[in-house]
Amino acid sequence: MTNKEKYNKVFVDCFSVAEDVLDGNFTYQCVAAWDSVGHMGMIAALEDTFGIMMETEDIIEFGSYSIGIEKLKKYGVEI
Amino acid sequence: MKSLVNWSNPQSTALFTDFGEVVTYGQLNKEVLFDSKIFNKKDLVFIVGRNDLVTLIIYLAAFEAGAIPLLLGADLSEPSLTSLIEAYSPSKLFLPKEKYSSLSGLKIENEFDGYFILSTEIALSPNVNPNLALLLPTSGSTGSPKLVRFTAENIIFNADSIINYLSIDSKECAVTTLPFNYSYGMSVVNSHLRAGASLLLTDRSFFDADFWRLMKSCGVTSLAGVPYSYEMLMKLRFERMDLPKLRTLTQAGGKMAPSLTKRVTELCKVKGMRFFTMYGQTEASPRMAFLSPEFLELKFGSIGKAIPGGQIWLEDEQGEKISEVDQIGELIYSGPNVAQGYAERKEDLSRADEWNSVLRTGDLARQDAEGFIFIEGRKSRFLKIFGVRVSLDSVEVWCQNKAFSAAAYGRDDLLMVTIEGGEEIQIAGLTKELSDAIQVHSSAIGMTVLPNLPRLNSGKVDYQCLINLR
Repeated sequence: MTNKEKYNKVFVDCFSVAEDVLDGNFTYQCVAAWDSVGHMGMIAALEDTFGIMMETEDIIEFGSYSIGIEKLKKYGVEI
Repeated sequence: MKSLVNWSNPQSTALFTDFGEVVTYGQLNKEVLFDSKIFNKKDLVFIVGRNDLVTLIIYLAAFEAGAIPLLLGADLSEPSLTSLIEAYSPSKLFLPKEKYSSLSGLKIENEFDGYFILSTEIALSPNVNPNLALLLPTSGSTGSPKLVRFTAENIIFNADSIINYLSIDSKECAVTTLPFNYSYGMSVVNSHLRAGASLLLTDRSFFDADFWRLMKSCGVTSLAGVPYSYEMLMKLRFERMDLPKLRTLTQAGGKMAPSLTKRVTELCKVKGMRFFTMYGQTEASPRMAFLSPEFLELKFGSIGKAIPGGQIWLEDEQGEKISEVDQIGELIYSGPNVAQGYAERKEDLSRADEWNSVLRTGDLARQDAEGFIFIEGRKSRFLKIFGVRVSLDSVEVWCQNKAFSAAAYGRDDLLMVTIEGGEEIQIAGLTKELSDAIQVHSSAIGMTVLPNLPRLNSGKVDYQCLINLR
């Protein structure tokens, strides 16, 4: 799987959404499942998938699908 | 009637809001007095709100007017709200404007920022218990209309007891990390307003950068959380945050994993913060016990002792008081904060005090030689999922209503449901439906399918076998 496929899979699994809704408009709280509980599950899944440990600021600023791609760059993960 | 709020310092700050507003006790008092005219004594008022200024003012206005508020969260599903309205026929409803569409038959009496007050023009029966002052749901359960009936004395006694053991004074500032309609969240609000302290009113989560900005700018000194809140805080590397004003952490809403309690305890030691682990149930308004921070390590895992003014003892299956050290029995609490009983429909609001200050908690506990109490399990079939109490039996009934034979079990923060059937069961869809119905996040529900549920000779589901299968 490419990094993009892995990244998308985390969103699809965590928020039970179809892959084609994932774009810049897919933001925190845009679906009921992406609440604080869902956010924590997603961060944990991303950390497991890419073998990284994210910093506080990056976890709380991870506000959308697109922002996440930027955030992961800091940890050497190119989507 | 005694006021819930300490109004003696009109100049001091009562509230900070999300939008940077600062409200003094004097201003709050004016607003509350003004809005209290909306309500008649003994009006039954549904308050479907959030942790915001309008909701807080209406809650206080209804309470001070001698009306009977029922506190509900804005995330309540429409079918649940409808069934509550049918069961109780409230006189007035305060609710977010977006919830109005389904109730368009009702008259709009007042309009606030984001909310309406609707009037049903139904007066409550004159038989309603004169001491009834507040209602709370028993859990975020399956649309069940089961409520707990409180007197003003219940609420005020509990707030005073909390002020006493947490030593809350007017310099304290708490943040609303829990929904106001959840008994723990309500007790944070009540105890701080009664102490003349301040509150940061917000619905923002720990994952919102603005939450942390507000924590700093408002100088929050105290933070309340359920076990799941502490998991989130640890995930966010809470230990690295710089919050010099924060000096107290409290935890209730279910037993926390010992490893997590240990981490929070160590963190508080390093940072010079106080950490209180506490025990309660909505039925006790809700606080019953707390462990003083100085005993955190010595009595690790204990819920401590009864709150000031309350009493705890254990009873065996015959209802005899247990006097032996470390023998397990049901935890019984007695104190002026024990509610008067349950209600399931309007007529029940006229019932007298059925509990007489004694609450059988359904929790199994032991007491050590120094009187510290340790929870060992539950007598009844309930789980706490992210602080919300979920009845396993009601989950099974919900499945039965969908024509599935199912068994519900699990541990705190994980509800397991095994359904009898085959490939026709749509696990993802059903999980989502159940998640909506009981207001529990779908990630906390594990659903499996078996052709046949394992059963004991008696025909009862063999839960132990299901647990072992996992």
